[in-house]
Amino acid sequence: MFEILPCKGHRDGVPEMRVTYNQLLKMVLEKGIKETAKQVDSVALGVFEPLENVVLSLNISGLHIKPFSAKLQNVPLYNVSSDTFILGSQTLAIDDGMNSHFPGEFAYGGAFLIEDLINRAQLDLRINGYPNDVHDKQEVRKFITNEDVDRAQLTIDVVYPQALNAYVNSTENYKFSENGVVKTNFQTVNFRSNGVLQLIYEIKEFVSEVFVAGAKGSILFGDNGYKIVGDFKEMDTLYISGLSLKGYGIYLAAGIGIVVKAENNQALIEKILSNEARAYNLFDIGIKKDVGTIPLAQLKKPTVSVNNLEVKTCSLTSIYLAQKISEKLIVS
Amino acid sequence: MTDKIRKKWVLHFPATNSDKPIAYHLVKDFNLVINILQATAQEETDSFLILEVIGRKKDIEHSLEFLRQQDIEVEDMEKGITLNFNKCIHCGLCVGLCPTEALTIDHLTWEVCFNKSECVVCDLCLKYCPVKAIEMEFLK
Repeated sequence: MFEILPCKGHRDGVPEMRVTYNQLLKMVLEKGIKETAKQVDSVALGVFEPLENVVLSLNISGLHIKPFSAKLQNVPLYNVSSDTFILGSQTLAIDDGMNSHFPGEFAYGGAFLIEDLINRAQLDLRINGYPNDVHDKQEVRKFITNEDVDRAQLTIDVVYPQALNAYVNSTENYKFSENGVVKTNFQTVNFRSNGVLQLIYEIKEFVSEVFVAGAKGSILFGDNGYKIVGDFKEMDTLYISGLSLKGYGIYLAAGIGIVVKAENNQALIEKILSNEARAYNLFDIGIKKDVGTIPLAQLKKPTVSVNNLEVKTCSLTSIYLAQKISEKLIVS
Repeated sequence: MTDKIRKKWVLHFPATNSDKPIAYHLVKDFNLVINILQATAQEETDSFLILEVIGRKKDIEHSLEFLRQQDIEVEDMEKGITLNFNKCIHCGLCVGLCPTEALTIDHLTWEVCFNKSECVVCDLCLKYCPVKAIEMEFLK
């Protein structure tokens, strides 16, 4: 039986009915879509998965140097002004062995540095600069923590539309991909997205609140995607994690939550529910060939059928943490 | 890459049988990769050898038969997998990799669950967990 949920805000004196994605699915099954659309005021959607295009901009004042190169914990930073640096989440530490011993470990890089910064670890900052009339230092080497950073912003750039891939492997060798390790002879089908980042763009008119890794975020929609920006200083490692994908590279997984206004909007509820039918390209990474499409609802099951074989699903998207994030948004 | 099993054994040799080239036979006859972790040889009491062996399941079974024929007692050195829930992000990569039902996802809560009794310590989850939440513990 569907429970009355903790609610947020009021509409004409009546508590707002805010539900999570999973609760919405259940509610539609129990009450039908019309009744659900009547009752639900807003829906909280969550994502926790490896993200592309994440950059952290760090503003560190008082360095008294005009930099031409910089690195933090041996991870290169890109200097965009005398006191602002950009860190890419997938940038590797300069001494990383990469795939020289295949499959490489990819133990440290931008994503882990982001995690360490939030954890207030002491980090080794090394800057080389050139002298000028304003700055006389040619080298700075100091340990910094998040406290020494004046201002920091995390930006996540989401491209739309983006083909979502699920990999299988017909060969005798393990394949190492952005979806994790794909086992041999169709033993696993690997995917890494719950589709919500694409859904957000499709329902952009109704977005009312944005949560990014524990901080309040803002969102900016463009013609072929959007950017989510959050104050890094407020972020929490509960919702951010560096991932080492063996043989492939480093990713940052971060929790994103959004609230969409759904008052009496049956079309919007239908659009949200259609996310379960989102088609993923089924790609044989062993022979580099498309083998069809598969809907998300199938990938969420423990096994799927591919080429008449029962194949185990392997995901990198955390539906558990996505659910936790949306639960946080309905009570906070 | 083929699916190989990794085992840790304590071999107890009777005092009369400590001079046989057992490690040689394991490598040569059964295609096992062995790593000697500890060894003692004493004339008057039983000797033992702690080995880590890697090989195909069938080869490991045949080598066990061979060792028993040589009056060598084989004891599994228990090593176990633990799941560190402080690190785990419940993505489910390990669930697909797990060859048994030791790692599963609860489809109500979407939480990764670990059932130690089903675990065959194949190490796949340990190798490929992206957040290193799977840890190895040696119990002996």
